[in-house]
Amino acid sequence: MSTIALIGKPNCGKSLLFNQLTDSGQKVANYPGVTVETSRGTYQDHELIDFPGIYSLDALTEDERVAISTFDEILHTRTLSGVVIVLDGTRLESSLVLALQLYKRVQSNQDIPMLFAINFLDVLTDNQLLLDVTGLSKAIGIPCILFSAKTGEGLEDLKQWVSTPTASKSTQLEEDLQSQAAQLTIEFSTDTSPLIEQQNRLDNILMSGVGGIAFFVVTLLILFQSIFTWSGPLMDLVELAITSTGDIVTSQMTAGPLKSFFNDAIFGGLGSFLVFVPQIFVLTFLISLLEDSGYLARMAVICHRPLQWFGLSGKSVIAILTGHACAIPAIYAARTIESPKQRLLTMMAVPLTSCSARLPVYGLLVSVSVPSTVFLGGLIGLQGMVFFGLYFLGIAGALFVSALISKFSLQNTTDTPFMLELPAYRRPSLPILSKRAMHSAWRFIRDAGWIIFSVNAIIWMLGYFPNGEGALQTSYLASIGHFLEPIFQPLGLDWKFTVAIVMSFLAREVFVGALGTMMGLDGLEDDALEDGLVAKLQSTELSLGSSIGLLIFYVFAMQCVSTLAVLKQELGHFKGPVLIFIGYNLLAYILALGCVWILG
Amino acid sequence: MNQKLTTLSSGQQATISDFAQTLPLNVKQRLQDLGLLPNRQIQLVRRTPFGGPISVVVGGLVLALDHQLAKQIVVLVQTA
Repeated sequence: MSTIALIGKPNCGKSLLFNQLTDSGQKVANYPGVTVETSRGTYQDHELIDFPGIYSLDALTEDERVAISTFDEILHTRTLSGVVIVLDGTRLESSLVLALQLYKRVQSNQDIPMLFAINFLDVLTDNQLLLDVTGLSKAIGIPCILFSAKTGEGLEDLKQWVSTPTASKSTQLEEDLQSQAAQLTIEFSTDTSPLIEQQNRLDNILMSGVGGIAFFVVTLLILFQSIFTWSGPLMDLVELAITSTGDIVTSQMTAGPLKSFFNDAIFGGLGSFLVFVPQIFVLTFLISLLEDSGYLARMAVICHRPLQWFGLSGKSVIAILTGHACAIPAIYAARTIESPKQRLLTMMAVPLTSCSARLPVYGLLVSVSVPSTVFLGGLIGLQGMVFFGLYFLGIAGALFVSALISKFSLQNTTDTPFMLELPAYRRPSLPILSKRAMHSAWRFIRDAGWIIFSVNAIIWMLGYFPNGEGALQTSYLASIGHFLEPIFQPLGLDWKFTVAIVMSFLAREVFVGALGTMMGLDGLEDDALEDGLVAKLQSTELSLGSSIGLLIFYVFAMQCVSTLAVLKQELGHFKGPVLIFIGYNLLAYILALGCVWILG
Repeated sequence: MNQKLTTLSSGQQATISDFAQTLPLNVKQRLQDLGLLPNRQIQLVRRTPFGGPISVVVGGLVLALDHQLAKQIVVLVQTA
């Protein structure tokens, strides 16, 4: 199979084009949020590789270095049959600088057909702006196609080229590519300043003064509220589906180990974790919405100065927001930060943001200990507010730790300054947003699912034997639990919680499933699913101090093996992850203990 | 006369004349790739509160530049 590379600058509409070309059977390799890995898909008999956006072949950031070195590798493979360079027709000059650099790089390696695919024909037409592609094509000797990834106009020509890439004449480029790009732009396109003025009018509202700050705060509030309050109906639906399937399956079975396994380990354990998938979907959807609309870049600019006080960069916002879905893509997202020091601090701080693996734990404990009072006719709920508080606590912790490290250990490091292009505001594509959200939800199920299932199966076995259902107190699991109990006894937690917490050091989500399995086994009635886990926990003697303390513990504790592995990979040494593991867990335990002492 | 980019007021136009010696080469290279070429028009369009990044229009792009970075860009204001 031959390979076609798709490359261009950020926000040039490359992802949408990739999506249009590889509509069926694509496997997206990148994480949601910021594209930092290549995505691969197929178009006819070609493999399409979509590279992360770069501004220049002289990399300034880690993500550009990674993208460029991957591109260079692909350039040396024999299977490469064409390079599609995607340009932004509304920002032709800067697109051309990169395109000409790429042209030079490709040509000096081997004779590979190239295409300049110029996007945003729709925007140009709507604003009566002209771009002379024929002239441009003649001037540089490379085929140029004007198209719109959004409306599909011109896409047929592009597809035709991709299916049979045709070689271009070799042209001698000028030494000074920047000036050549500027000249070509003046010669072949009309002035795009009306577009810039449009954008500036909106930016003046959204980026300055009280209005800008108000919009920023409201955006954050909606983002976090929606995770809990608005994904509620979806979660109820998933729960209903799981309980009814469980009822149908188990009603056919006779009482015994098999029925108990299905009831407690599968539907009780795995089920209680699947309920939280909608929240991950909603969060990823909203972050992608912010990114694709162009507002995320504005958030970075607005936050840059305040975040500098804590040793971070405005671009840390992207990592911190993504961290609320998962710390791993967030750590990768830190690659877009120019300053090595700010990048390091961002990576250290990210594990303290409340990732989606904590959501099931928060969801369960908040439902158990906080009443479901609502205000403003159901728009804002007390539980949602507590959720917001937990998120805030995580962010505050991240900022505090970053400021502390920056103050005491990283004083004299050289820095690369912050610079960011403010992209055009665009209406995001709904299919792309949903696709990305689906991918992240699926990824969460796939990556965490098997760990949770195996842990639940082990817990069920240890809890079922030797005395069967209803005899959890005399099971093997109880003996292990009682042995470990002293660790968390100061927090007022019994052995069942201890087992669930210890197990959740593999992955946090295990906590809920493990408790679900144990509570199911402990119930004397056959029908373990009849009342949910929340009701079961409410009937135990968990004090308010202990449940809030446990919540605080989960906000700060570093319990994810995968995050530590990625940190090691990105930092290049073990010292960072080890310090983070010890430091954050100690901090979590001490704060939880303080909480228990205060609240009783 | 030559002055720092940060001394422009919002909406004011100027011509890029030079970069400070203190500017690292790779950063200078990137600014030029983004269209900050000598003798070219640049307009300061917005400041962010508390000494945050300043937004400029240059070469058909809107860029937000760190205040410390913008200080190292020297511009020439035409006096009428």
